[in-house]
Amino acid sequence: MSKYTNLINEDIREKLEEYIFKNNLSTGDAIPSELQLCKILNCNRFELRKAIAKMVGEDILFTVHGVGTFLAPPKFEENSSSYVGFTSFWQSKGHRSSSKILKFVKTEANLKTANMLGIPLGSAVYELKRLRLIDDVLVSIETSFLEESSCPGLLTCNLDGTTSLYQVLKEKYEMTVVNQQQTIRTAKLRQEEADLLCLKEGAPAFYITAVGLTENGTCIERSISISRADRFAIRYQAKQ
Amino acid sequence: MGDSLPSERTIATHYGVSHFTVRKALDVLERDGIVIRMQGKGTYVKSPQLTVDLQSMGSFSSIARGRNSSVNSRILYSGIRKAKFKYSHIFGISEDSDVYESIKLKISNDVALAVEYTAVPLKYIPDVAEYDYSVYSLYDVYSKNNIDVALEDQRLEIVTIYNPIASLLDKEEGDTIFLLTSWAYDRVGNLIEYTRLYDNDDRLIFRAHGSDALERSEL
Repeated sequence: MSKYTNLINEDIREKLEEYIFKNNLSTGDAIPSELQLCKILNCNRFELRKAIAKMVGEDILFTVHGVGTFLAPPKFEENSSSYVGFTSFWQSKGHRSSSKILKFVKTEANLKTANMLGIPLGSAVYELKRLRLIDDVLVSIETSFLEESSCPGLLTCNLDGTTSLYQVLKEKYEMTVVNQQQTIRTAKLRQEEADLLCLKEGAPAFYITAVGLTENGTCIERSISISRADRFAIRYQAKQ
Repeated sequence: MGDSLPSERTIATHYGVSHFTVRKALDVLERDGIVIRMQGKGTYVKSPQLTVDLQSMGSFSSIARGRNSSVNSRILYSGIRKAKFKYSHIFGISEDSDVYESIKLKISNDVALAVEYTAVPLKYIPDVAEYDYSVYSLYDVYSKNNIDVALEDQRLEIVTIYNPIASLLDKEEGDTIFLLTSWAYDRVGNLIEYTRLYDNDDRLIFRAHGSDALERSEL
C-alpha cells in the first residue's frame, strides 16, 4: 500500500486551493511567486511545482512564462441532460452565444449521415458548418447535416450570428428537436481546426457526434462538433 | 484488434485512389476511435471502446452489469482522514469531521480503464470503512444504511495527467484524458459522495441523452 501513498497525498494542492479561496482570488488574478508560496504553504519548490502543474493540467491555473501563474476562467459547462440546442441553452444560462458560418452547401448524404437520418445513400442533404462562440470566445466547430426534403429552402435562411437553427426548424418547418443523443470522445485538433479556434495543432478537444430527434423519434439532424477542452466541459444530471 | 494497416501508399495503390483520399479516410477512422496512428510506426486497429452512459447511476457498476461484465476494481488505497479545507468546502461539513477516502483501479481484461478517487463523509455513512469493497459496491453499502442516491450531478472534462495516474493507466505524463467528477445526493439533498474518475480515453467513451422534458421538470 505504501507504493500508492503518493496517489492520495495532495496536501500542497489542498493548501493552495485553500489559499486561493480564502484570499478571494478570481479569474485573471495572479497567485504569489513560487518563493512566496513555498513560505506561505510551508513546502519546497519541487512539491509546489508538482501541485501547480496538476492544477494547470486541469485548467484551474494557467502560466505565462516569465510573467506568472494566474487563475483560469471557469469552463463553459454544457448541460447535456437538458441540452436542446446551442443558442437557446447558452442564452438561458445568461451567456452571449453566436455563430459564424464556415460552410453552408447542398451535398449528398454519405453512408453515415444516410444511416443516421434514415435516408437513402446519396440523398440531398444540407451541410452546415459553423464556428460557435460563447461570450465571444471561440469554443466549437460544429457541422450539421439535415435532409433537404425535410427542410427545403434552408439555404436561403440566415443562420449567421445569433440565429438558432432549431428556432428556424421550429418556426419555418414545424419540426422541434426535443431529444439529443451524444457520443463523446476525445480528439486532438488538426491544423485547420486549430487555426479556426486560434489554438495550437494537437490541442485537446471533445469530439461529439450527436443526433437530434423530434417528439415522434424521427432523426432530423446529425451533427459533429469539436470543442476545445481548455474552455469546455459537459455537465449531466442523472436521476433515479 | 492490434493489427497494423498497410501503409497509406499501399492502400492508395490498392484502391486506385489518391494519397490525400486515404489520409482523409484514416482521419475519419481515427476520430471515430477505430484506428490509432503512431508517429513513424503506422496505423493500428484499436480495441473496441466501452461506452459509459452518463444517465445510469454509478456509471461503472452499470458497465459491470452490462454485456461487458468483466470490469472489476482493485483497491489501491482506503482510509479515514479529517475533512480539512478540501472536504469541508465540498461537503459543507466541519474541518475536523471524518471522511472516508478510497482509490480504486478499474480493470477489464487486464487493461486499466480508470482510476477512481472517492470521498464519503462518515456523518452520513458511519460504517463506510468497514466493508470489503472487493465484494460490495459503495451503492450496496448506502442501501444497507437505508440511503438511496437520488441524483448524480456529473461533470465531464478533459485534463492533462501526470504520474502516478498516468502510469497506472498506461499513459504518458502530459497526455490528456477524461476526468468525470460526480456529486451524489441522497433523497433529502445531502451530498453523500464525491468522486473523481480519471478515465483512459482510449478505452472509454461516454454517451449522453438530453431532452427538453428533463429541463421542464427541473424548473
